Formats: sequence, structure tokens, C-alpha cells
Amino acid sequence: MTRLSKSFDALLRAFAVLAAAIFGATAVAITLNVILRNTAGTTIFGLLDVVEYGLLAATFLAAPWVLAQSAHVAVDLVTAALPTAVARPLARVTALVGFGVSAVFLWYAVEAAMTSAARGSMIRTALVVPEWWALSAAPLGFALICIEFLRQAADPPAGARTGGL
Amino acid sequence: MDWPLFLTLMMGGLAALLLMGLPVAFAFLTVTLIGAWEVLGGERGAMQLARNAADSLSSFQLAPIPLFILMGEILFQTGIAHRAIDAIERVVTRIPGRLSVVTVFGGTIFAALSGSTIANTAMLGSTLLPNMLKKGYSPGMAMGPIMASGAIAMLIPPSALAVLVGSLAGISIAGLLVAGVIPAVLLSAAFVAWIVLRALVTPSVAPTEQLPEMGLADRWRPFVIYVVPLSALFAVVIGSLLLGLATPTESAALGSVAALGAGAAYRALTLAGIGRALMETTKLSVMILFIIALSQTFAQVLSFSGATGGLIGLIEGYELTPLQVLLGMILLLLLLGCFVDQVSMLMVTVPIFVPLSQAAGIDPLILGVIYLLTMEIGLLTPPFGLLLFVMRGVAPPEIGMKDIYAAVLPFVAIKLLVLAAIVWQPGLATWLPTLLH
Repeated sequence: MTRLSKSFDALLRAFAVLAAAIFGATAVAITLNVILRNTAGTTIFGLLDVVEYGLLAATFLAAPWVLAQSAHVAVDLVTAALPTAVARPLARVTALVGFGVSAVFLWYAVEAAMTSAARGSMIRTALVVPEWWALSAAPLGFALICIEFLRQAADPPAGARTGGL
Repeated sequence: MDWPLFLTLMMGGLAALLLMGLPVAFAFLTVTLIGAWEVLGGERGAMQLARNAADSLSSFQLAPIPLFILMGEILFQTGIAHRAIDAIERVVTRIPGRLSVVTVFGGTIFAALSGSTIANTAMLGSTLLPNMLKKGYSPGMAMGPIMASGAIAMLIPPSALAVLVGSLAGISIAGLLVAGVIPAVLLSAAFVAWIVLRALVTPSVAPTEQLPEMGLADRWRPFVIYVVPLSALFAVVIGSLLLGLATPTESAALGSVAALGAGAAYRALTLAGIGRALMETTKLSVMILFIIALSQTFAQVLSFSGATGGLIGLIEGYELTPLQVLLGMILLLLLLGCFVDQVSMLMVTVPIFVPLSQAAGIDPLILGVIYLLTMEIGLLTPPFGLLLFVMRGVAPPEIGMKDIYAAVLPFVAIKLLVLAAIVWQPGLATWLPTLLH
């Protein structure tokens, strides 16, 4: 169990590192674009599209890791005040609610992507890509989120959440 | 289902899920999914939710959120921000409540370089609080300024939350970023005035210290080395916006690359530091972006159920003046701010407040600045103000939550005064954006 749990953590972290790399590359690419525009009068073709897809991919890829880190902002007004004997069972129920809603969302997100693929819908901006590529980010993230919620239901994370701005 | 019942069920369900401790994003997902099923046509509605999630994130105008956060994280993780605070401490000498004033200056300067109120508060708390307590400052004089000026990061660009407010509410992001500057400067000035006054009336709250003898050059050299160049970063971000050289996304990218450049110039850049900055950026940005992915459908569901229109019709029925509408919105936001986080405040109210203020003829920029200020106050109001807990985390154990509440109250009062000033003289917020090209 621990080994499985550890490899799952490594997978979540790998996706988070990928997301971090996307954010870093976005900063560098947009800066280059500004310099190119103001010096050479040219721009990087399709950059706008790539940045947009990057945001989409990074968000859904790293969201499971953020959940595992308990860094999705939550209101701990009540839960922090409860004694452990009540807080832990409640945390299990909460994680199961999270699992339930994520599983339903996952189902329809897959369906949305498959319907789009069957129709052959394309997104035509600077770059032309099949729409189902963009629609695949959410199912991928949510599949991992479902597993993470199940893990939290089995073993609720200790300590208060610290997410926020 | 008629809309009052629908709205009650949505908001009631949301409140119950939030109180159970379900992360905000998933609480919204749950009620939105059920709502979409009910009003957007069963399975079609659920699939629409999935498509909207992809659509709302594929937006170039959201890109400043991670980039502004990255800029602050780089300065924070490389330790440049800490050196700047030390440098400011050297040059602020003969003023009552000296270290509290240093806190406000440092907090305001870092706010102009970072979009994260938590990072700002944690940094000020860890660098200045131990020193102030050791020198006999009262807990109120030590902690109040830290939390109050930590929260300013929300208002001064680069502010990730201003980008969020702008994109959710359809307000010009460049305009809103610039609109926060004057109110923020006003806040800092008022904080300093209050600190000095307090220290003059009751000198024991901020004992005068014997400063080591230092020549003029020794005193100012660190300031010139560590603070003056940082103003160039601020100039890059705001200057490129004001001159119309760059969009908010571009100015954010330039800012984070410039922060990297600053790190290199100070030889403070390490691979580990960059890695930490990127991972922290990912954690915060993804948290925000993930909620945005669900926001569009939440607003759609409220609108299709007739709740948005019904509620607005109800309010218009009272024939309120724009000022009354504005005051009503402010009161509701302040109340919400006591209990829920900033992103939830936005998500719940934007679908109603934006059309409402349009109908009442309220300037969108004013609405945006009101949002930022009330959210900032929400960070500081008991019982759930987030920064109160950040403070608890860095304060020594003998300081209780009650001391922290008491410390922040005068500063919350000052923020309310500035909020009132903006309602009274909207030009304070709207004048600077008129200079945008």
C-alpha cells in the first residue's frame, strides 16, 4: 500500500513539475515575443494559442497534486474546531463526496471529448487542432483527482488546510 | 422550479459543502453540476460544464495570474526581498514607531513586486516580528502593520487577484491593475500616520531604540544596492502597461523575467531557488485557475434558472439610488469576507453584482476596486481572515488569536475609511486608468 501510495505521489509530482515548466516557459516565450515584436517587427507564430493550451493543460495536470498537498483553498471554520474523533470520520465523508462529484464530472468530460472526436470538431485559430485534444485535459486530471479523493477517504490527511491568496 | 427556491438550494448546498471542509473548487463543482443538470438539460448540461471548463481556461488574459505570482516568488525565494527590507530598516531612523513604519514601507514595496498577500505577510512576519517583540514593541504595534501592509499586495499591481476580478467581471484588466495604485498609496500613508500618532500618544507601545552610529554612506549604500534597482521592476510592469507597450499578460511575463534578471545580478539565483519558486507558483495559480474553470457554468446556471434576473428585478423594484446599490454590495461583501475566502466571495457575487451595477450605472472600475478592497479587508476580519492565521503561524506561541484580532482592528478601520473615501470620491480610483494609452 505504501509503495503504491508513494509511486502515485511521484506521478502527481511529475505532472506538477510539468505544469511548473509550462508556467516558466510561458514567461520566457511571451517575453521573447515582446522583444521580437519591438525589435524585429515579427512575432512567434501561434504563441497565443500555445499559451492558452498551456494554461489549460497545466491547470488540470497539476490540480491532483494541489489536492494531495491540501492546497486547494477550503473553509476550515467548522472542521478545525471539531475534536479528532468527529473530524476524521467527517473528513472521510467529505472526501467521498469529492470522489462522487469528480467521478460524475469525469464521466461527462470523457463523453464530451469522445462526442467531439466522433464529430471531428476542429478548433481553427492560428493553429488548427482537433477539439478533443483540448477536451482531454480535464478527464486526465479528474481521473487522478478521483484516485486522490479515494486515498483521502481511506486515510484523511492530518492538519489544517493552508490554501488561499 | 421557481428561482427563489433554486437559489436557496444552490447557496444552501454550497454553504453546507464548504462548512464540511470540501475544497471550494469541489463545492462549486457539486452545486454547479446538479444545477446544470436541472436547468441546462440533464446530460447535455453536464457535458456543457466539461466543455466550459476547457473554454474558460483557454484564455490569454488569464496568463498574468501565474506570471505575477512567479515574479513575487522569485524575489521571495532568492532572498532579494529580505535584503530589501534590511536596507529599508537602515534608512528609516528618526520616526516614532520606527520598526512599524519600516514594516509598512517594506510591505508596500514588496506588494509592488509580488501578487501574493500570504507571501508578503509571511515575509514581513518572519523578518520583522521577532525583532520588534524583542525591542519591546507591543504585540498590536508589531503585528497590526504586518498584516495590514501584507494585505496591500492585493491592491498594488502586480496583483493576481486583480486579474481574476477583471476577467470574471469583464472589467479592463489593465485599467483595474492601474486603478489600485492610488488607493494603496493612500492606505500606506494612513497606516504610517496612525503608527506615528499612536507612538507619540503612548510611547511605551514602541520604545525608542539606540541605533548604532553609522555614516551616511553606510546607511544608504544597501538601499541604493537593494531597493532602488527593484523600482526598475515595478517600472517595467506598470510602465509598459501605462505606455501601452505591453498587454497585462506581456507586462507580467516581462516582470517575471526581470525578477529572474535581478536574481542573477545579485548572484542570488540557484537552481533549487528557481525550482521552489516555480512549484509554489504552480500551487497557487492552479488553485485559482481550477476554480475559474468552473466559474462560467456556475454563472450560466444562475442565469438560466432565472435567479440572476429575478434577484436583480427584485432589487430594482426598491428603486435604489446607485449609491445605495453600491453600499449594499459593499456591506454584503464585507459580511461574506468574514466567513469565506476571496475566490468564493467573487464566484458567488459576480454573476449578480456585475449586471446589477451595470443597471445602476456604476463605473466598472469602481466596482473592481471595491471588490479588491473588500476582499483585502476580508483577509483581515475575524473569525476567518486568512492573514490572521498566517500571522498565527509565524508569531511566537504566547500570542493568542485574541491579540491578533485586537492588533488588526485599527487597520481594518483605516481600510474602511479609505473604502468610504473611494465611494465619496471615485476619482481616487478612476483617475490613473484614464492615463492608459
